[in-house]
Amino acid sequence: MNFFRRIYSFDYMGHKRWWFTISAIIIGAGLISMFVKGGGNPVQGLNYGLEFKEGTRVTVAFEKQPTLGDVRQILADAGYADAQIQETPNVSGTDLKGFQIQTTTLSTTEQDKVKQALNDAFTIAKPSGTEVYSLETVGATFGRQVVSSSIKAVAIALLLILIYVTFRFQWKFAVGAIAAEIHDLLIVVGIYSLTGREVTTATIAAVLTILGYSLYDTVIVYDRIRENQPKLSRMPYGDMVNVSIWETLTRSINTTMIVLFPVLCLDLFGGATLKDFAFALLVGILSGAYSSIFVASPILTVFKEREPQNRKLKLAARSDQR
Amino acid sequence: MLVMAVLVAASLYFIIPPSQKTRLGLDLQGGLEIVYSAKTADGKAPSSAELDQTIGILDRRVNGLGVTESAIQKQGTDQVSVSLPGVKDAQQALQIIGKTAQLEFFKDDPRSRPVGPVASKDAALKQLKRQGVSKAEIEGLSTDGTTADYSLIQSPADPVSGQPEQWYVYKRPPAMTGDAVKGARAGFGQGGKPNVLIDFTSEGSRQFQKITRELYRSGLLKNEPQTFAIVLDNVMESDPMIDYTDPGLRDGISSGAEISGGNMTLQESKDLAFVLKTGALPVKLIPAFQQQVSATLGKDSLNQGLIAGLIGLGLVLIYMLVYYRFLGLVADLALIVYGILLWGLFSAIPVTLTLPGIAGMILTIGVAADANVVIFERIKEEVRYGKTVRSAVNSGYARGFKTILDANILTMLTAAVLFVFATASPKGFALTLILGVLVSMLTAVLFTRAMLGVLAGFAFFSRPVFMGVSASQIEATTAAESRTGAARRRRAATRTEVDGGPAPAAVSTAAAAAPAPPAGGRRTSTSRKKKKKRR
Repeated sequence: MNFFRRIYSFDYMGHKRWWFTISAIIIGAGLISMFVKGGGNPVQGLNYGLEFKEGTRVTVAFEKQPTLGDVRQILADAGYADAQIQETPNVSGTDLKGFQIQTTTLSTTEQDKVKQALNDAFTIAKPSGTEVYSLETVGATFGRQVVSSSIKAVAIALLLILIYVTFRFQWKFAVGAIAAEIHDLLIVVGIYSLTGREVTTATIAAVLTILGYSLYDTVIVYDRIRENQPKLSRMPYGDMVNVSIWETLTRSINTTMIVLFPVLCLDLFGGATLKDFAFALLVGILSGAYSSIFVASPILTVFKEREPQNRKLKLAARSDQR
Repeated sequence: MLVMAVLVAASLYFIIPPSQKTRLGLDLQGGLEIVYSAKTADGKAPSSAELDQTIGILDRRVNGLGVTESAIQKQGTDQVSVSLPGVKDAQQALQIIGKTAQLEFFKDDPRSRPVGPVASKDAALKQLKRQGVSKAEIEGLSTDGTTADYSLIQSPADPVSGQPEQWYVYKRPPAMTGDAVKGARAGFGQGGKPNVLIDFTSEGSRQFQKITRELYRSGLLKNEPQTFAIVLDNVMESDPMIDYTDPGLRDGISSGAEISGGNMTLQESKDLAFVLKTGALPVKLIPAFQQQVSATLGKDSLNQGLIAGLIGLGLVLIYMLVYYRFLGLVADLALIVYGILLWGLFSAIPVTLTLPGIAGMILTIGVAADANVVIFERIKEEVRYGKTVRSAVNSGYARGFKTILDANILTMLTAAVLFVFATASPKGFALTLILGVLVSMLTAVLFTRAMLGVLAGFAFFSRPVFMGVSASQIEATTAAESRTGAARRRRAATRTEVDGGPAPAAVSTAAAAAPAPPAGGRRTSTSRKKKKKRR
């Protein structure tokens, strides 16, 4: 019980170094994982989905229930011995056992051939009149384009955020906000590397959304700090930030909870694509809520306490304590 | 309030019946999406005019397939995306759409055909190299099939006649191209085999007549029948012979040509005629991305998304109700109104709902509820600082909305960036997000505000318990009151009170944002006490 009371009166700014250390450890672990898995190139340390590679992926369910070996045999006979085959317990919602087959890029005639071979051997299932069969093909340049346009998008988004927060608050606020953003990004990317989850275009969309949404809580706290500053002008800056955090803590927790509900539901009940979105959003939202209190605000405080009048207040408070 | 009622009614009008009025993307209703990279015949990037021309031709081909709601779009400078929701036969569509359909006629004399027939591509290229053609030229031919001077042509194996695969190299330019074609139709040739008959333009007829006449004459001279090749996209379709013993051919053939090679099925001959009729693409299309979703998978995804969305919405409704009691009810009503408006908007404007779009919608449920949380917390706070409920609603709403505005603008900024830079599917997500955030703010302005305004007029509403300020909270915080800055702020707040007047109930129940500070907060609270003294 005590915990809930304590979070409303805890000296968050006094423990800045702890928060920075914790974040550094998590981010460090992610970065190390990226470097190790990528063999020195962090960009390679992620498990990229088909969109970023070259190849063809077929998702299919059969009426006869073949084993993984059966499917592999048929594909090998058709000349695709190097195909990667995965079994999925039920193809998006149906009770049918499904297979995901990934091969090198197939031409239209080759696609036909593979489908025909599979159909002849196991009969592609048609639960409601239409075949359970989907196919994706990605050429070599497509993935590179997606990655480069995403990096551009992140850079521009950060720049816009920097400008907007500077315009609405002050550049010191903006630095804290951007630090929190980069923190959130690195944590999401790091967790993707650590868990080896597949990075898809959906993941990238989710990451960009996190950029915007994770500032929600930060803006709430910043707004309160801006409002409290003239009222509590004689209080050391760090203490004033603490008061602002206490006062907005309930709404930070509630807004985070409320967004987490639907996102959790997506992760639990959604299909594969929705799950991709949901997981990245989940990590990003949690990280965003954390970083508003433990990254954005402390960094703002560090900058602000360097201002002469704030330094004086801090020193005065310290000598009072002794 | 009236505006709101009109909007909700309009939305309902657009939504019902949902099955007809919501446009579903192909990931939800099944279909085919292809992104092509376009290259000119010799492997260069296409010009903007060529790309536009390509889109025009693709449009005609897609229309011929009978797919409604198809979309063909330029992506970047050298890509074209084709989406065909609900297409039945994806394989047939692929065959027809992506075909360059570059029809060419080559004469079969040694000057026009330096190499062939040989058994493999490598052998053909090797032979050409021996004739002194440069290495760069050979490499270009190997990758692109066509260079400025040569074309590498394949003649596929024919299982019926037992003829194996053969390769040729022809010298460019061809004797005639597809530009000379006016029309094409499927028919039946010798022995009732399906074929395609080509009609020429008047200029084309003259050219064709000239070629065939020349072949007839050289046939007479050499005492040997001459042939020419009809080539489509570097594949030899037909190799007709001009019979020099038939005097009827003395003046050449002007009527038309026939493609009868191989063993076309009737469907194939129809497809080929159709493609030839729509004209050749000025570029080669290489599939860069292809997604084919069956209708069953699409429907599953849609259902899962809707279930997830409804459960998520339900949880949020319950949470708001439990946490904010009566205010929660207001928020829940606002959320439902929000849902109707958003869905109405999506049905009213031509936006296609995709799976990522559904994810965006579900996320905005949270964003919309967030707006209420921020406003309500602010109102509760104002009540604790001693305002009457009515003035707390006014000032709390105004201040809360300012925070929401900043937060939402940031969300929309990044969504806009995503919309501009992302490729197809995240685009749908970004658009939903932007629309959702806008509608959520509209709901907060028009609905929540109005509801609170109306309710503040009722006497029962002014009891703090309706604000979620409970008795236990009041007792726990009165002791801490004097120790925190809240007390001071409360006085300031009462001073600046304009319309509220004294509020005895609220003062006694005022709950400070910060309860009694235990160990962790000691340092800050002490320093604050000191400061007060100095003051």
